[in-house]
Order: sequence, then C-alpha cells, then structure tokens
Amino acid sequence: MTSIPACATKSAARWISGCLLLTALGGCASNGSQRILRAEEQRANAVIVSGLRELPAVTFKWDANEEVTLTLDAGGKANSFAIVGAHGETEIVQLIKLPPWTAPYGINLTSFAVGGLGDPALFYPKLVFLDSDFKTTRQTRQSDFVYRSVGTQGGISTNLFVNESNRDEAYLAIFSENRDSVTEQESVMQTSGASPLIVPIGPYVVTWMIPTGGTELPKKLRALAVGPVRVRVAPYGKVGKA
Amino acid sequence: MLKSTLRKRSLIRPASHFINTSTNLRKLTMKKVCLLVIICALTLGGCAAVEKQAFNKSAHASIRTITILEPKPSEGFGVQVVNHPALGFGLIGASIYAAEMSSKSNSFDAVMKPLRWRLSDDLTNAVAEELTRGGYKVKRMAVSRDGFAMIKNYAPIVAIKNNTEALEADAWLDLATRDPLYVANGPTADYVPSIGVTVRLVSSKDQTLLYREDIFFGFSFNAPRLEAVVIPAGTKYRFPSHSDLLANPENTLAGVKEGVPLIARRVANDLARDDARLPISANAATAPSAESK
Repeated sequence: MTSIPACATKSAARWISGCLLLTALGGCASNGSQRILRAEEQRANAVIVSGLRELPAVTFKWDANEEVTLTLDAGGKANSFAIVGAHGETEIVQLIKLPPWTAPYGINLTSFAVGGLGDPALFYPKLVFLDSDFKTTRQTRQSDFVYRSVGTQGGISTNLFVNESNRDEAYLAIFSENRDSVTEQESVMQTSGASPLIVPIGPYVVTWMIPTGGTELPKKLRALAVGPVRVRVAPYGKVGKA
Repeated sequence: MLKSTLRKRSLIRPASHFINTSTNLRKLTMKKVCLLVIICALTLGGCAAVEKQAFNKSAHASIRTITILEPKPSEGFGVQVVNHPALGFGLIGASIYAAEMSSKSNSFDAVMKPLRWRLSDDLTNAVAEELTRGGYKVKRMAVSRDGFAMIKNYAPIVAIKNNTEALEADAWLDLATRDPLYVANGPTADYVPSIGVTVRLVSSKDQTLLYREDIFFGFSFNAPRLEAVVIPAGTKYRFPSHSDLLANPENTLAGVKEGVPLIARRVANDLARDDARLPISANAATAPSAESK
C-alpha cells in the first residue's frame, strides 16, 4: 500500500471527524419505531370532534385541464383532528373537499413509507367517500392499494375514479386501516449511494465517489396511525404525471 | 480470508482478468449491450416524465375483446450488479464493469438455456389466461417492435387492422418486457430475480390511452419517476453469489417463474377493477362517524 503523507493524514482526519459528526446528527433522524411512537402521541393529542361534519376540510385547487397534487404531511405541527370509533378508539381523520363534479376525474392517493429502510413504517390509509350529508357512499379495502417504488422508501397507492354515478360525492375522508387487521406490506426498497474514496497522490488528495449499494433484506412495514400522503386529482383522460 | 471472500464476490480479480478485459469486451453481444441500455434508461428515467393512466372500468364497460400485442421474444437471461464500485472510475471502470457483467450474464445464460423457458411466451400466456378469467375475449398478435420497448407508432398496425382478424378487438394491450435478470444491489448483496413489464391498453378505434402501468417483480430498480408497482419475490430465491445462481438452474428459474402469474394477475386486476362501485365495508369500526347510506 502507498504510504500516506502527513497533509493527507490531516485531511483524512478532518474528513473522518466530519463523518462522525454526520453520523451523530444522523442519530436525530427518526426510525420507524420512533415514528410510530410520534404518530401515537399525535393521535393521543388530537382534537376530538363529535362527527365528520365538525372536521375542517382541505379544499382542492381544482383544474379542469391539469393534474393537481395535494400533499398531507401529517408531521404533527398543526392540530390533528380525530373521531372516536365504534370501539372507543381514537382515530385521526383528514377530510378533503372534492371538486364539484362536471366530468369524470381520477384520484391517485399514495402513502409514503418513513423511518428508513432498516426500520420502516407506513400509514395504511382507508379512504371513505362521503356525500354532502356526510353519508358514506363507498370505501376502499387494503387490497385496493398496491406497493410502489415511490420516493426513496417506497409506499402504497391506489387509483379511484369519480364518475357520473358518483357525482354526489362531496368529501373524501382519509382514515387509517384497522391496525389490528392490517396485513403488513413487505418493503423491498434498497439503499444506494456513493462513498468517498480518498487517494493521496503526492501533495494532493483525490476523492473518488464510489457507488455503494445496501444489502437490506425485505422488511415488513409496520403500521403508523398517521403518515405522509400525496393526493393527485386529474380530469379523466388527461394522462397523469409520474 | 478477506481476500478470498472479496475474490469470490468479484471485488478483486487476478491480473490476468484485466489483461483479458479487451477480449471480454469483444465478447459483448448486442443483447448484453441492449440490457445495459435498459438499465441505464431505467436509471435515467428519473429525468423524464412518464405517462401514467389507471383504467376507468366504468367509462369503458363496453370493452369486451382485447388483442394482446405480444412482446418481443425473450432472448435469454442476464445478470446485473448495480451500484458497482467500478462505475466510479469513469470510462475505464465502465468498460471493466461491462466486461464483468457480460461474462457473468453469458455463463448464467449458458446454464439456463437448456431449460428452454422463455419469459415472453410464459407472460403472454399468463396475461391472456387472467384476462379471459376476468371475462374478456382475448386474441393475440405477434408484432414487430424496437427492442423491448413499447410500440412507438401504431400506424403500421392500424393499416392492417381491417384485414387482420386478430386485430378486430375493442382494445389492444401493448405488452412489453425485457429479458429476465438476476440483480444484486452491490457486489456483496444477494442476487434477486427481476422481471420488468410495461403494459399499455389503447382503444383500437383511435389508439386513445386507456391504461398504462409499469411493473417490477423482485428487484426494485431505483427509478423514482417511474413509480412502478413492485411485487416482492420470495425470500427463498435470494442467491448470495454468482456461483450459487449457477448451482441449481431449475431452482434459479423457479425464482423468476414465480413472478409471471403475479404480474399477470396484477394486470388483470387493474383492468377488471370497477372503482366506481367499491363496496361499503360491513365493518363500521373503520368509518366510525360516517353513516352508511
């Protein structure tokens, strides 16, 4: 092996200390278990309302010609709202006011896995369509969602249409699937990145970025009470953007 | 010990290997070059917008007959190691990488060839079977296409539409797939099976796009904008090294074959779904305050 000159050793030491700092800061990033706990805290602290009518609704900026995207972060900064279920459990609900029906349109909802690939977690949504009197017209099952390679950690998504027969639907409520009966999805996403390789050449230090890939085994995505969700709405026939 | 492990994992090679690199490069067949192009396209897919269209069953309830425009016949099997360190060393590294992948793919293909299994045939049969089960009348038509890609221009097919019984259908299902692969996420990662399918349904009348989906089975390539459906492969079909891939070809093949009916069912489910009439669940606990109509 080539001997490393002193200046290179100094640079390498600086680089290593930088890496250690990054690793220490990386510890602040929450893993799946921490995200589950945080979501449970959010659920416990949510403002409980007596019914869906009391929920504040997010309104879509509808465009008859273009796809519109709405991101529900669920990061816990704003107040969450919850209702009490039939068995006394508290459940966070997000309510979206659908655009007035003029022509068929499609809704694509994606829930993103969080917590990192080593300990991932996922919000399993249950979508409930409501008419203007807040009566349920239809709702999804877990089997309506498919696993997709979205973002860096994957997620699940579903496509739904609001056709003429559903023109009375006014709201879309996003509940959580019953966590006791949810079938945990397997995550097959794998990490890829680049590690720096430092090679001292005379007085210089050359850094190469070497591609690296993780060796993660498939992991079950544990259920979160609430999580980041993206909703896309597009007039039917307008090809969606991916 | 470490050296022998690294050698086994192809991280380091005897000097003779590099001397033979130019010979290996010459052995790069067109097929392998195509394979590399596909991988690059998948990676670079992040730069371009990808068309997406879910199938609206209610809007197209009149579709009863579907003609499958068959994929290009598969040519063999391949091996890919993504995130390979050699790719960090410019053109020389890329040449070394290409030579290594070519050599690995050739030896893998040689042991799999005698099994006489072709992904394109099996996939077309499975999709036809699932669509038939879903209530469609299915026809098939072999078409010429550029490589493994979707059909770019339907005009030549439209031109013969009225004279070809197989094309007399309500919609055409453009089914595209590449050669099956075993892919490792890095030189020390396990090899997992990989099938990539792109499927598009167009109206036979005016070729309006009715449905478009990308489906990966097994390895999930890092192609974020593609937002492909990923069907996980069974954990029993993970192979720690290239030699393990070659050890039992029947078992290795089983890992790939497992994905075919799953992909076909996914396509049939997408085309059979009636989203406008999702049932109201009997379990009111999940929608506590919503009254059922």
